[in-house]
Amino acid sequence: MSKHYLVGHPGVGKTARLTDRLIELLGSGVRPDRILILVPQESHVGRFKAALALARDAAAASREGRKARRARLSEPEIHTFFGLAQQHVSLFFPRIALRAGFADPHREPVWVNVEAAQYLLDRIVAPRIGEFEHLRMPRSRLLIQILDDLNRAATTGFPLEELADRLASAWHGAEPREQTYRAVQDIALAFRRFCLRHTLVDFSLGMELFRAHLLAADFYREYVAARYRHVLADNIEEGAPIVHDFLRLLLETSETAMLAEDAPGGFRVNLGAAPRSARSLQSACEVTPIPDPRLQPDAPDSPARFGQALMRAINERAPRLALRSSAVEKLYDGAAPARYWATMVQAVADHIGALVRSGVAAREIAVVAPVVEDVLWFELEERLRRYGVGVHAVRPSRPLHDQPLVRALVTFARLGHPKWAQPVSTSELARALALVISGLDVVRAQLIADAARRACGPGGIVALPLLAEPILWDRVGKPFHERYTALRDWLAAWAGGRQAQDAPLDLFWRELTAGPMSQPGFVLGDDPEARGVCDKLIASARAFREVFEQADLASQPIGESSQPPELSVLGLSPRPEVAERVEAGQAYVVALMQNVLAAEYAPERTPDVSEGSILLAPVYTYLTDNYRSRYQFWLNVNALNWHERFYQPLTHPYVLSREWSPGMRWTDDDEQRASRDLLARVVGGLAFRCRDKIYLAASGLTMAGQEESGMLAQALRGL
Amino acid sequence: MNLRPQQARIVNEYAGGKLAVLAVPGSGKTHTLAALAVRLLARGMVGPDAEVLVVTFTNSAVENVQARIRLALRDLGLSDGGFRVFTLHSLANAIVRERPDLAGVTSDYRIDDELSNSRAMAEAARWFMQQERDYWLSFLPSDLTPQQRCRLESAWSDDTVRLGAEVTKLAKHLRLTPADVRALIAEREDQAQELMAISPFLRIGAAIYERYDQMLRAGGRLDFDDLIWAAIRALNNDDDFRRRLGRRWPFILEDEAQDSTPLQEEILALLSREHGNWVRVGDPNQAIMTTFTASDARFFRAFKERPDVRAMPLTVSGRSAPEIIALANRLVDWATRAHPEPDVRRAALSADGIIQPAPPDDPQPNPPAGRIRLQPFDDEDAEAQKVAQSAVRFVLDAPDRTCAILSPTHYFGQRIVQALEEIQARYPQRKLYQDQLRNPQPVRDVARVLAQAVRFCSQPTNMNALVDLRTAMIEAGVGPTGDARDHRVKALLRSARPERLLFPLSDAAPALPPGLALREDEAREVYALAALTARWLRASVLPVDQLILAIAQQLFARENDLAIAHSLASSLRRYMALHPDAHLADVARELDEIASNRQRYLSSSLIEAGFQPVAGQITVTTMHKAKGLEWDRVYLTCVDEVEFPHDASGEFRGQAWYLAGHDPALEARIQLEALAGGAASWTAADLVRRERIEYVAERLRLLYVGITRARADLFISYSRRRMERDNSIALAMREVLRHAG
Repeated sequence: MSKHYLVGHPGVGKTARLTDRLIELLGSGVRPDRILILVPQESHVGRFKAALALARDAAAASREGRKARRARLSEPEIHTFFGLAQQHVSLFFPRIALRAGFADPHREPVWVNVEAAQYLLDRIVAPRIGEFEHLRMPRSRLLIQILDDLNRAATTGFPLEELADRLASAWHGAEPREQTYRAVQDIALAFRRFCLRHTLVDFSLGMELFRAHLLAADFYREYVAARYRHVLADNIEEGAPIVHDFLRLLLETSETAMLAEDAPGGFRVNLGAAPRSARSLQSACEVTPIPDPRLQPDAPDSPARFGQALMRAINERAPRLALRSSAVEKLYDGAAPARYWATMVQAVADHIGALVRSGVAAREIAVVAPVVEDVLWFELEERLRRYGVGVHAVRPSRPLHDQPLVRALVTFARLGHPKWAQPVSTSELARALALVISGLDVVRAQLIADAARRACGPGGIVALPLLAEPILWDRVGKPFHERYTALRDWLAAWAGGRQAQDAPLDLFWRELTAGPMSQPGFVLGDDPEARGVCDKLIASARAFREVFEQADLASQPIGESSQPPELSVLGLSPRPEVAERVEAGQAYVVALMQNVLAAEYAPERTPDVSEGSILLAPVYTYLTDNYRSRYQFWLNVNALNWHERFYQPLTHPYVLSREWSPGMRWTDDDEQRASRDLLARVVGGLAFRCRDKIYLAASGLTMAGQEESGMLAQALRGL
Repeated sequence: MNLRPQQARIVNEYAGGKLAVLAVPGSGKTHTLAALAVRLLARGMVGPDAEVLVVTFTNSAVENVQARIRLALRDLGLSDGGFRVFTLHSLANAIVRERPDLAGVTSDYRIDDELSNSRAMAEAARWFMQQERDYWLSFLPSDLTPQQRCRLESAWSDDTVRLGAEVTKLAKHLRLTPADVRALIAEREDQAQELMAISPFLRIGAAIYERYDQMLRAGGRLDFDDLIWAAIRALNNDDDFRRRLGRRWPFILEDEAQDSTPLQEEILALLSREHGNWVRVGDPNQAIMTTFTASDARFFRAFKERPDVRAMPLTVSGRSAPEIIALANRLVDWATRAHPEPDVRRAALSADGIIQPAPPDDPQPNPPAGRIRLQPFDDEDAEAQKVAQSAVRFVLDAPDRTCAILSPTHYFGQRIVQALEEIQARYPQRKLYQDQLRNPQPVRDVARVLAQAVRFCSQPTNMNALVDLRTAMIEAGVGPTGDARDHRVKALLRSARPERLLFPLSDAAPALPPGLALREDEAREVYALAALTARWLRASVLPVDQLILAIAQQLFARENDLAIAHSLASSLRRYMALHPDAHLADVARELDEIASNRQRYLSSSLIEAGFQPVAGQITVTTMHKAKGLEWDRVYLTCVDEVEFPHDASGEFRGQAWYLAGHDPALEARIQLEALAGGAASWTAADLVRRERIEYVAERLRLLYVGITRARADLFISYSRRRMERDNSIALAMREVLRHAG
């Protein structure tokens, strides 16, 4: 059989087999562009790129000139599923637009990013907010749940019209929820109609178009059959059912295929990961389970072995199961962990310090916790500095407005647009300067900001003034004078430039970050991560503007012109409100800073940890980014969020999945089973990615001064 | 654990089922509950995955009970664990946290502490007053001078906030959403209006409730009442979930049960539905939270009377001297048998609560002899002055004893503080008193240090801010040690170049002016301070709550301080969400408001904030906040007919003269209650009378609480003239003292 399905623990060499297979295919003369490689996220592209480079070198060395030339001419396609689906939907859009119900099938579609989707949805939700009276959540949460429902319907493959029925039949509580679910469904449908009317394609509609209008179409089948003769897919357990539908098609149409499943896996619960649906592909393949050498009876004790035992302890509800392992160390004494959170962080830092002194490379050490708060990062960094160790923090899921650099860029946007008349405070300015100018501390930045404030006079700082006082720069330092002036001159030139007056905000940010902020001495010149944040913001602002223009939102009044319902009890007469025209850039900044846009990203990044730094990551990021370490520190093992998923009343990862059949109820027992199952997979996933030793850390009180004891803590009691 | 016979009986005999324990002041309730928990564990009645659930009223009681149980378990050679201690709110939070979706919230819901709560309420009321300014002003008399108008607007505005708060509280207690309230009002309007027209105050209260609720909802926030409500929703929405928690907590021991509201009681009833093991300990005579929390001693009494509930007494108390016990008992006796209002006789105090002194061989014997003195004064000024002087004499003479001046009102407490301030000026070497009227000292200390730290972060070039921060840290006893009055260090910090001191560059220009020879300890202190604050400055790019947490992790080690800092941090995060343009300087100002008592942080009790009386210092606080504490000598002030009325006629607190004697909050409340309960045939006058009887009864219990705070000496005072009117001693006090001779 030419279709293979590999399954095994993380770290047993599945990806290596895929890359070997890639090299083999290329070596056997297959046209590279007939090979499709599917990865779960951008950060996984690297390993296949490396394999390609290797294959090319091998080809060059073997002097098989013809093949080598071809290898240079074309490349295998490496995609995430969404990237590929988006490409194909765009490609075939003219062909499917009419059937899909677009009002103007000849118009070029605009892809709606998450921020713009939230903004649009917010306008649909606003007049109906009263229907959610018995729920308590920020507006942004409500929006995220509705988008989530849209996405789940599309990636699971059920019609949006079934959404309310599905949620309602699983609900069996004392209070009625059906009306609310209906409201959610109505809003989701209204959003869909809005997109169809204005030729906008959001994630869910893109998926829907792909599923309903490409996957089932003969022309697409022929296209795929001709295009992809060989398929390699990694971590298929992380994909949603729609990914597996696509793979099923590929299994039918391609010559060879090799799929790999990580077990335990399926950590992108909130993005619809469906390991069971992945396994349904096994029937069309030859299945090859890959044994784990670390679990052979004669293998030495290892974190993997501990992981397997812990998984069993959790799954079999045997909390007192005796766990014994030399590959694990508790940094707290049995029943009495360190009382304070800060003590725990110190203990972790000290152990890391000792490891590094004993010759372990810092980057081989990882600290993981269910949630990585700013304070944790900051405290760990401060405490490790003494040992000369840095912290490389990877954190997904940060709304843009929570990022200091984004706030700095907003500050500069105000300074570059004096017509907005939004003065900047000295502390905002000081912080922004300290963030973008390398080596500038807050105190010296504050000296500059104070001087700027004095120079600006009564109106406040709406634009940066020229600062030439020698006394100031004597104190602050000459190099900072040049950098300040460079920034100031650039902003002044922008504000004064004629075409800049109407230039969009994303262009402002792009020029600013590509121009002065990328010079030596500025943070973007030195820090690729900061670069990534800027790119994200710019892309978000641009996509937002495109949607804004496509749907002509500027000319539609914002704000509801009805009386607030709170006052209706008084029986007084309503007062109209004034509608005003807004511009995309300003609307973006307002929405951004008022937390309406709470989009969270799984950012694209390379998994390399910088030299001399340990890795600090939330558990799920560690797993989905597929890191490996010699040493792992598990923090807050008492915490509840080791096993708790993110609960939301208006969406449901299990009820809106393919495994759930309509009419079934979802009870707390189901919930417990699901939590247990997920926790077991998580601890297994971590342990199988650790080579030498796991350290468990806990404090009696959380950072907030509360006691917690979760499922993981219970399972670890027998250790 | 050393137990009295009554206590031992409860601990040894209880093996399951529902039990009500009526416990008098000082009878060792908490001690007994802890012993019972240990006993259940020692007898192996709690499985490996289960815990004895202990519910107490305050956070500090949680720590106290935890420590006692741990100690006792260790003494018995048992392993730690197998129990959980919660306040009702933290229990509700633990329930909601496990399944927020069942309660209609998402996992990132936030809890509003009382500070953000009162801020949100004030904001909702302000919104209303702005939206409907003309309507709102129409309640005031029209013929006013500008000065009068200004004063009345401010009074009416305060009353509007109170109105909103009380309607909100009651509506939640009745489980009415804003839409429900609106519907009730609309329904009534459709009917004939012969019985009771809808009060405009209820309409205003309902509008504010709706706005307030909308604000909280939009932020995903739950106030304390919502949290309880949410927990009940979660338990009711999934039987599997409720049963799972019932298995986890097979025994429920509840302290201060008289203060539980019906909603809170319902949580425990739901949790114990399957196993029925629920011990409630309380003293209905100390139920003084009714007005604030919708609790009512009636509920605990009703529980005690249920046929499936066993009752056991805890009536022996070693707290007070025989004279004080006798006085408290006489108050109970008079109130239940001789009070002029028959309804009060039934409702106010329970005769089951007669206190018995401990036998002579008791481990905690009563103080041998006590003193009770009644002192009338001519007016409030004299009362404040003389009481303050007397208390100062006491603490100067007896620096090893504790002493408190308790006032029924915050206002009179402040007059006492003013009087003490003047005396304090003559004793610069000694701290004579602690002002515990509004924000308890620990909260203010934490807030003050954080305010200075945040202020310095907002203006790191201002070395005076650093000096102030240092002073605040030394006063609160945190951070690098030093002498707050050390002028050399201060001067030195002021003359330092901040950038060189905090972020020295490699070229190593001296941070401090040349010529200043530093002592070694001074240098150490200055550099330690610099290292610490530089760290905070680096953290100051973080969101505000994270910055505050970072500061707190380095400054505070006490659990309670950390908890306070955390709640301040989350409160300020909400502040930032409401005011996205606010800066660090605004945050520092907010913290200042709390530190200086201008904004209320925690209203419930001193014990809540971990306060313990200090020997040789006078505690000034309200009778409400004194609950759970004791002092060697207690001054009870304003024991008069204004504060402790004996009948439902006459003038009452809450009545606004500028509204022609209406009490907006009261009227709105009783009408809402009547609408919700369908008591449509009641007249407004009936309802007002009923509310007032309840008030009279509660004030009697407050008096009882005041009396039972004293160990040895009880000094009772009142003024013959108050608020420019003749005044007399409270009838209750006159009667019980008369019988005492």
